[in-house]
Amino acid sequence: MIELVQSLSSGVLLGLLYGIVALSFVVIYRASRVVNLAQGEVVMVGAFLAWMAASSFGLPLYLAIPAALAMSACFGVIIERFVFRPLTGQPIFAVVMASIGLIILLRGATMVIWGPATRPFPQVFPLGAIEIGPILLNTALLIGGVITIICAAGLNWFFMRTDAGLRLAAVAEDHTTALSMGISVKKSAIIAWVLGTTLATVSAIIMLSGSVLGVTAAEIGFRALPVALLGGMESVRGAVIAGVLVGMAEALASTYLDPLTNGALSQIFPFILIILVLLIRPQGLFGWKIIERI
Amino acid sequence: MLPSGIIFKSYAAEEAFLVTRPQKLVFALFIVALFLFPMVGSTYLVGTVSVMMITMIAVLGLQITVGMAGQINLGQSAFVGVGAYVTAAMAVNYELPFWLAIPIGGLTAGLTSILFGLPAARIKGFYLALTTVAAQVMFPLAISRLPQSWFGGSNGMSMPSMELFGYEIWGQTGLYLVNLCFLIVFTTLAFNLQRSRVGRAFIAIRENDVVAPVMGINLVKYKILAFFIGAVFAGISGGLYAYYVTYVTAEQFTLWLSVIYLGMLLIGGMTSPLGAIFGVIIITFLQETTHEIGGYLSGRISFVDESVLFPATNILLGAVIIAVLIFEPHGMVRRWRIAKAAYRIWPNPHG
Amino acid sequence: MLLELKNVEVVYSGVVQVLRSVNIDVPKGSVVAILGANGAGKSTTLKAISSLLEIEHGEVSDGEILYQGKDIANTDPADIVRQGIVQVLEGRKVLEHLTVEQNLRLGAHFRKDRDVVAEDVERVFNYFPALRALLKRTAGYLSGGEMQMLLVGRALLAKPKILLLDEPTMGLAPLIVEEIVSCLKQIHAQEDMSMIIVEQNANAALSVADYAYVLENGRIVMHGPKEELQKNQDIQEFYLGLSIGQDRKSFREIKHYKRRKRWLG
Ligand SMILES: Nc1ncnc2c1ncn2[C@@H]1O[C@H](COP(=O)(O)OP(=O)(O)O)[C@@H](O)[C@H]1O
Ligand SMILES: [Mg+2]
Repeated sequence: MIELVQSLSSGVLLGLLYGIVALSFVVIYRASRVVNLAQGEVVMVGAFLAWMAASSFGLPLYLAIPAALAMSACFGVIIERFVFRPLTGQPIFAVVMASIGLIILLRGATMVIWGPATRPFPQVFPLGAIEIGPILLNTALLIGGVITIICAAGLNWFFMRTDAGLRLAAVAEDHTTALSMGISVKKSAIIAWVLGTTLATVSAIIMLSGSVLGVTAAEIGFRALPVALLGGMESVRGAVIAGVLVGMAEALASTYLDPLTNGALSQIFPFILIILVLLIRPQGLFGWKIIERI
Repeated sequence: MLPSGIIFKSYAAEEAFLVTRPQKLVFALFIVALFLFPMVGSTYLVGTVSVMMITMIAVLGLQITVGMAGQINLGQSAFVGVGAYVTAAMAVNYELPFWLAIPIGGLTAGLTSILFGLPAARIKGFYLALTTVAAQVMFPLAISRLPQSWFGGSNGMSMPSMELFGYEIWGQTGLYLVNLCFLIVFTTLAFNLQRSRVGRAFIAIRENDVVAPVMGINLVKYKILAFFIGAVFAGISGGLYAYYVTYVTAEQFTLWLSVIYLGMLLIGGMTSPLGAIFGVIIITFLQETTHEIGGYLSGRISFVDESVLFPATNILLGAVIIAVLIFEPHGMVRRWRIAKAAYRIWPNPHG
Repeated sequence: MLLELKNVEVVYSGVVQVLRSVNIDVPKGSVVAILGANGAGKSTTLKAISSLLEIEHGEVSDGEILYQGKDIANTDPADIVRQGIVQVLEGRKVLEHLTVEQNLRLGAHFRKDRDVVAEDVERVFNYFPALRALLKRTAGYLSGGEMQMLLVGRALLAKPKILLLDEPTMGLAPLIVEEIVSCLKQIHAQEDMSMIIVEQNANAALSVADYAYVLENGRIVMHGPKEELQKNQDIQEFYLGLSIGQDRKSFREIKHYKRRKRWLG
């Protein structure tokens, strides 16, 4: 019983980490209709920026983190301006392909700028675990989970209740309509990318605090993409809920199924789960139903 | 655009790729030259071209799935891996000759892909790409967890050499010729597929998968078929690769490689098999040149070494992919056609 | 003159010329109808005015669009809306996944005068009482008539000085068409606003408009006050689809008909 609760609660925390990365997918998708497959690489670049602010510049953490967030915001503006803005109006296929080009570009750039060696990432959150009764919770992930939930609540409020957020929603629906209402599609895309890259950096800090940074940090991208798809690419709430579901499924699989399958299932299980759900609800749990017209 | 004075008398003639006599002649000479190439090329060059040809088969397959049928596939290298491993298992465990082992590898890769194409029954568009990522994630896990006697587990598998009629095919030249034969067969298949009924159905699905079923195209069947054919090509490429490198491990077939395959296809141009071929040539050329330049520079500039050069190629590659999408969405194939047309109406300026 | 199109030419993708030397005047407070068959260039005219051509790779290649004396051709669409030119696109483009309330709110998204917006929302409910009950509904699931009301309401909240309506009655049942038309009349009577109505349904458009232009293949082939257009039998037959005699025409009549048409054009 304790084993079950322990594994579930670790799963929830891991899932919230997926959730915040998935959120960054969602935020970008909502306003620019870009499924950015390079989001993992964006997380990686964010991590390196944070590392650079703390280690290379030698800033104290309370300055290094805002500096890293500001730099990632600029990074988002650059990607939007030079990669995706020129592609507005192109089919989604071309946009996805451009994000594949971006994967290659960002990996190369990271290796050239910062080198391939792994390095210790500054410890932002306290190490170790918090004990709640018999259950142990990783402190960094716990704080990260709280941050994720705060971010999600904030974004949800932003998208549903503020004019700026609703403008992004309008852009997500249809560019021509948004333009006809006097909404600037360009501005919305910039806001979306700034939000998306900053969130990615936040998630990088949660993920790597006190651990090791290397190019492998980018792998979180393809672990979180299915989560975003499961939640529905348009849904902030969906990203977090799907993250928690996938995290729990993964934890359960690794506790109960891995011993039987030699440790293979926990990594594959989320995919199977997600594909099954998508078979029933192709738009994801909370995504917008695609209203197709011939 | 065709040279002047060409009149078609039948539909078949109009569909032909080689129309004029000079075209046929040049093409025949080109093929002969390809076969004679190992006699003049250095061993290194012949090896490079061999790898290029193996890659071309995989990218030709990708062109069918992605370019013709419009289904994003982020798992091509996993299917290459399946082909490589199955070929290895056939050659090692059952001692089958290469001309049986490789097609079995290709077929198995195709069948595996059906498993991942099945969700196409419900899932549309981009979401389908997810199952191909799943394939990519599952591949190394499956290889290392399956019984060691099947695929050597996490140790990988060592390959025997190819044999034909009791003679061993050895050296770069031998492998080159085998690869070339396979490439010719599969390039022909790819070109012919494009103008067949199946190819036209693929293109209809790519253009509009809402309308295609209204035109009587069985969407699920053709999407799965697109994955299947693309993966068969991948499997064949994997089998050849296994023989070429003589040792297969799961780490050779990464998501990264799938991404590079897509990059090659994009740069070459997705709408024609020719694009796959151009893309592989362009990118190999790019990689080899940076290698050369790097080798030259590393002796002179202190911080330039392997660890900078390889990623620098990737910066260039990524930038080129993005630039191609922005400035020339049809890839280099379009430039090729323009150049051909310009040549034909020379010396008149192109109209 | 509130809005003047002077010799406007529109080209798509740098090669497809769709409008040729179009001249349209919209005096302050008037309702102008633009009539014409499918593909005549009506929507293109409206998009030229509200600068929505860029996203479709089109541009005003020649001529001027003067709004309050200033040329606004090819400027930022966001500015144009803020200056009081608001378009309701064809095809009932509501924001499908947002609620009716959010749709309406977005209509006024750039306005700072919050308290006035609240009054304006009340006015919209007066014109379209049905909307009040639908506030929390997802806009994509409204009926065609309700969507059209929502769209007009949303446009009103942007405080237009000139409202551009692209085929507001397309595909609606005759009763709903009447309802929309009477609402538009009421809005025109009560608001200080000009309108351009693009329609294929000439009856509906002419019952609101006081002046009309007829567009054919990107040219204005005919224009005049409503009464004049309604009187002229030829125009009625050729452009407005209001056939008078029901009897079938002989070949000779058709030749004659073509000649008259050419003369008119
Ligand atoms: N983006 C575009 N590119 C090229 N041609 C276009 C484009 N949009 C419209 N057209 C052409 O312009 C003409 C006028 O279109 P439109 O203004 O939509 O007509 P209407 O609204 O009167 O039916 C049509 O022939 C149409 O094919
Ligand atoms: Mg129209």
